[in-house]
Amino acid sequence: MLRLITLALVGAVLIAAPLFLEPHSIGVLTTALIAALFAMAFNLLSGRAGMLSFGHAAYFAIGGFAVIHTMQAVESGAIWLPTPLVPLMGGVAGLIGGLGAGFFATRRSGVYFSMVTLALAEMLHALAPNLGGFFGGEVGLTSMRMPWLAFDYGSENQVYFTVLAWTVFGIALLYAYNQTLFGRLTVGLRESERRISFLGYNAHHTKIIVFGVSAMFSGIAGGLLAFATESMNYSMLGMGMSASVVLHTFVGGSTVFLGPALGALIFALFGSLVSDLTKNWLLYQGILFVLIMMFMGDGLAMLWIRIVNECRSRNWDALRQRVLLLIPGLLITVGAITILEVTSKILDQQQYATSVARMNAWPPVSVFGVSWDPTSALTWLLPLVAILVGIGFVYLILARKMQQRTGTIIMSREPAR
Amino acid sequence: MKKFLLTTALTAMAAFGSSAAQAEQLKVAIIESFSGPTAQTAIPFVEGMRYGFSKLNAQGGFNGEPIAVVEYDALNQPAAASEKLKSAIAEGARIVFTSTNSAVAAQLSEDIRKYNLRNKGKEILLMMAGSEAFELVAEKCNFWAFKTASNPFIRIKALVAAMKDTGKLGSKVYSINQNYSYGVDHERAQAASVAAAGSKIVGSTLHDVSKIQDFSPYIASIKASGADTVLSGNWGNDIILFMRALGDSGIKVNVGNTSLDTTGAVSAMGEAALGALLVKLYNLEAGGEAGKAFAEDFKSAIGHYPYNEEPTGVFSTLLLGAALKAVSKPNAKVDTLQIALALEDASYETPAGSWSIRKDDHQVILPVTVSEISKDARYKVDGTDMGFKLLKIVSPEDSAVPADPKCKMQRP
Amino acid sequence: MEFIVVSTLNGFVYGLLLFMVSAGLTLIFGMMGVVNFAHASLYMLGAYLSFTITRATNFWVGLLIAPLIVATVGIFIERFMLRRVHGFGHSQQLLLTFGIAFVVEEVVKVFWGNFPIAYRPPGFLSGAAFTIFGTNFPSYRVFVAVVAILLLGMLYLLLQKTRIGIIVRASVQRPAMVSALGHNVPLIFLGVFGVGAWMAGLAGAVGGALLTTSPTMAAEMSVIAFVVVVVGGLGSLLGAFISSLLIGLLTSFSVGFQVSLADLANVFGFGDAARRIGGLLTLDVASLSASLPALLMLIVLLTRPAGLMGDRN
Repeated sequence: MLRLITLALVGAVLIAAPLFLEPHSIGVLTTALIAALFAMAFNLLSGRAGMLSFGHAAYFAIGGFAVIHTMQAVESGAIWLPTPLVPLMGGVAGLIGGLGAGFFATRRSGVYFSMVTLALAEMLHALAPNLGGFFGGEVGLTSMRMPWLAFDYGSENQVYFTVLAWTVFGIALLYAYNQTLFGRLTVGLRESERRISFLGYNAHHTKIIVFGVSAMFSGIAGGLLAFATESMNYSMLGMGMSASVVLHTFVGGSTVFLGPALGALIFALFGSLVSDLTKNWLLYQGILFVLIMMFMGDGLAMLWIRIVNECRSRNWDALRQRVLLLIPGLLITVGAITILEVTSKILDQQQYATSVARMNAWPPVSVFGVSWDPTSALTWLLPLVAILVGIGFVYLILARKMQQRTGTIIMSREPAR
Repeated sequence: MKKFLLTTALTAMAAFGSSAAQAEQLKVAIIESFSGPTAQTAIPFVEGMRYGFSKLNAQGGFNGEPIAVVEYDALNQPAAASEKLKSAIAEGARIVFTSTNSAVAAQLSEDIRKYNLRNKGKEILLMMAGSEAFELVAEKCNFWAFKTASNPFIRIKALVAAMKDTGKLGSKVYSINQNYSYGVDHERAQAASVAAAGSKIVGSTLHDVSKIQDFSPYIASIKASGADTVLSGNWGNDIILFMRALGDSGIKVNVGNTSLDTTGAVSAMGEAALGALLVKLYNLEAGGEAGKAFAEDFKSAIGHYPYNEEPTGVFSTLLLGAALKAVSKPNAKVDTLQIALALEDASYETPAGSWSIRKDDHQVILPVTVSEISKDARYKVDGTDMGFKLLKIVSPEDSAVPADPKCKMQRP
Repeated sequence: MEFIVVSTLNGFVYGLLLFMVSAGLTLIFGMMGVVNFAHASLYMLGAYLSFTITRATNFWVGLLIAPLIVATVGIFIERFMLRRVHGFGHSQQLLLTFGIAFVVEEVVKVFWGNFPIAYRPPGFLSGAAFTIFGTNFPSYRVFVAVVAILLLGMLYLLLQKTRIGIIVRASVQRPAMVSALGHNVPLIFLGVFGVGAWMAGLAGAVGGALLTTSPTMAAEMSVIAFVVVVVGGLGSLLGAFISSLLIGLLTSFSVGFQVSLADLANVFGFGDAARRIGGLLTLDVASLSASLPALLMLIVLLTRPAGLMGDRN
C-alpha cells in the first residue's frame, strides 16, 4: 500500500513538474529521466542477471546514433514516422547491437565477461572517430524534431512529457518482464547457471536474449537523449558514460527494482546542482560511491526500505541510532568538504597562484560563505577536529550497539556465491 | 562555476533593479568547460574574455548599461553544454561565448540555430572564440554563429609560407596527425600547402587521439622516410610525447605545429622543444609598443602575461565590442539581428593586424603569427628559460583561405 | 632492417614497463579473484609522488620513497577497504576498486592540476646510450629496461626459491587449502597486495618520466594492463611477461604498416570496389595501432579463454 502511495506521489510530482519548475530545470529533469531508464536497462543485465558490463555506453550510443539518423531521414522527407515514435529506432538498433555483442560476450562469465564488454566498447570508441560518415566526426550529427499533429516539439515541456512517457513505459515493460517466466530465468542465471541448464534451458541463448533486451532499453535511453538534444556525438561512446551508469546503478541499489532509477535521479541532480558550486563535484561523486560500496553495499534504495521497515516494526532503537549517526556524519562531511575545498582552491594553478604572485601573500579563500586564511592553523585544525570528533562519535554509537547485542548471535550476510 | 564576473555585473544588477523602465541590459553567457580535461585550454580563453568585457564596460557598456557576464560550466560534454545554454537563455542571455571544444561549439551552434527558428525576435548570437574545427564554417555554418578562431587550413597555409620564407621548410616533409576530423583536415591542409610551396610529402600517418604512449615507432618511421621536416596538427599529450621521443632520438628535423604552447607543454618537453615552430593567432612580441602595452595592461588586470590563448579571447570580445559600438543607442532594446549584421561589417585592430568577419561563412579573417621556441624569446613561459620568439606575421590577406562551397548560409 | 631493429628495441622497453604494472595485477587476481581497477591508479600515484619528491630532493630518493608510499596506500586499500567488503562477493570488490580509481584520478587533479606535469628523466640519464643506424637510443630507456629486468629477476627468485614464494604460489592456486594448512592467508594477501602496489608505484616512478605524467595516464594504462593480464592468463606471471612483450612489440611494429583491408582486397582484384565502400575497409593498420591490443584481447578471450599461460577459466 505504502509502495503504491509513494509511486503515485512521485508520478504526480513528475507530471506536475512543469507547473512549478522553470524551463532549465525541466531540461535537467529530462536528462535525469533518461539516465534513470539507462540505469534500469543496465541493471537488468548487471544486477538481475549478475553479468557486470563495463561497456554499456556502446549500446546507449548506438541507439542514439540510430535515432539521429532516423531524425535526419524524417527531416529530409525520406521516410515518414511520427516524431514521438522516433526513439523506438534506438531500441531496434540497441537490440541488434546487443544480440551481436552478446553472442560473443556471454560465451564467457564473471570477470572475463566484464573484460569482453570493456574491450568491445573500447574498440567501438577507438573506431568511431575514423568512421566520420556514421558517427559524424568531432562536431557530431544534428537534426531537428519535426512537428507532429498539434505538437511542434519546440518547447521544453513537450520534450519532457515525451521522455517521461517513454521512461515510464520502458520501466513498466521491464517490470512486466521480471514477472514473466523468462524474468525468473534471468535471476536464475545469476543464482545458479548450472541449474538453469539442468532444467532444460539453454543458458547461453538465455544470456544472449537478456543481453539483447538490456541493450534494447539502453538504446531507447540513448535514442531519447538524441531526441531531446537533437544531436549526437561520438564522445557518448567513451568510458565516462559506461562508468556513470555503473555508479548510478549501484549507488541506488541493484537489488531493489527501482533502485537504479533512484541512483540515476540522485546523481544526475547532484551533478547538475553541485557542478555549479564546485569544480570538484566529480571527486565528491566518487567518494560518495566508495562510501556507499563500503558501508551500504546494497545501495540507497535498500536503506530506504530498511528505514520504512523499522518504522513499521516500531524499532525505535534502530531509528534513534540512525538519527544519532546523522550528527557526526554531518560533522565529518562539513569538515572534509572544507579541507578539500580550501586545498583545491589554494592548489588551483590558474587562479590562486597568480594572485599569490601578484600580492606576494596568501589571500584567504571562501568556502561555505566563510573566508578561510590558508596561513592560519585554525583553518586546518577546525575541520580536522570536526572530522575526528565525528569519527569518535560514530565509534561510540556503534560500540554501544555492539554491547547491546552481546549474547545474541550477530547475523552476518552469507558470503555471496 | 556560475559566478558573476567583476563587481560591475553586480552593480549593474542593482542599477537594473532601481531603473527598471530604462534600457534593456545586454547579458552575455560564457559556456565553457571549467572542469574536466579541457579546462586547462579553456581557462586562458575565458581570462581573455573577462579582460575584454572589463574593457568594454569601462568604455560605457552597451545601450548605456554595463554588460552583464555570467559563466557556465559545460562539463566538457555537448549534452551538458546544451543544458547550460537553456539555463543561460532562461536567465536572459542574448550573446553566448564558447571556446576550445569544437563538439560543444557545434552543439551550441545547432541549438541556437533551432532556438532562433522557433523564437523569432528573441534570437541568440554565438561567438566561437577558439573552436578550430573546419566544419563549423563549412557544413555547419550558421548565420547566428561567428567563428573568431582559425582553422587547420588557415594555420597550415601561414605556417608553410613562413617556413619557406625563413628557410625552415625542407624538400621532404612528413605529416603526422590525429585520426579524427581535425587531424584529417590538417593532413589535407599540409598536403596542399606543401605542394604549393614546391616541396614533397614523403610520408603521412594518422594515429589514435591521446592513446599513444610511446611515439618512438613513429620516429623510426619518419627516419625511414628520409624526411627533413615534420608537420603536425597534434595537441595535448600527443605533441608533448612526440617532441620528447624526437628529442631522445637525436634526429634533426624541423618541426611545425599548432599547439606547442599549451600550459605546461614547454616545461614537459624541455630542451627537446627548442627550434620547433608554432603557428598561432598572436604572439606577445608582435606590434612593438602597442603589443607591449597590451601585454602589460593584461598582466596588471589579470595577473599574468597573456602567453597562451588569452589574446584570442580578448580580440574576439573586442571585435564584438566594435559591432556593439556601431549599434549602441541609449535606452534601446537589445536587437541581436542588428548586432549580427554590424558584426559582419566590424573590424578590430590588434597589435598584429586587423580582425574582421567574412560575410560568406562568418570566418574571421585575421593575421597569423609564426614563432620559434627559443631561449631568446622576450617572454619566458612555464617557469623555463624558453619562450616563443616571433619569426613572422602573416597578413590577413595571405593567411585567408576561400570560403568552403559546402557552407550554405541561411540569412534571416 | 633499420626499422625492424629500432622497433624491436622500443617495443621491448615498452613491453618491460607494461610487465612492471601488470605483474602485480595478475598476482592479485590469482590470489583474490579480484580484477583491481585501481591498480593503474597506483601506477599514476607512483609517477606523481616521485615527481614531487624528486623536486624536493633528487631522483634516487624519489625512486626509493615514492613506491614505498604507494605500497602503503595499497596495503591500506586492501586492509581497510577491500577486506571490508570481502564477504559481499567479487563484484562488490570490483565495484569498490572501480570507485577508488575514480577518486584517485580526481584527487590527483586537485593536487597536481588537470594538465601533464614536467616529469622528465634526470640530467645524467638524458643522453644517448648508443647510436644505431644514426638514431640515438636514449640511456633512460636502457635504464627502464634494466630496472624492469632486475625486478623480474628478484620476483623470480622470491617466488621460486624461497619458502614464502612457495606459500604465495600455493595461495594463488588453492587459497582454501593453504589456509587449512595453517598459513595466515589474509596476511599473505596483504603482503602480495603491498608488493604489487610497490611494483606499480615503481613502474610509475620510472615510466612517468619516460611517457607523460598526467591525470589520464591511469585510465590509459588500465586498459592495456588488463589486456596484458587477460592475454597472458589471469594469475600467471610468465604469461604476463610474454604478453607484455608481445603487446609492446605489436604496438611498436603496427605503426609501420600502412596497409588496409582495401589493399588486401586489391590482391584479389577488388581493391577499387573496397575503396568505394570506404569506412572500415580503407582504414590502415597504422592508424589503429592503439585499438589493436583490445582486438587481441577479444580474440584470445574467445578462442583461448584461459589466456596464453593460464590454466583455468
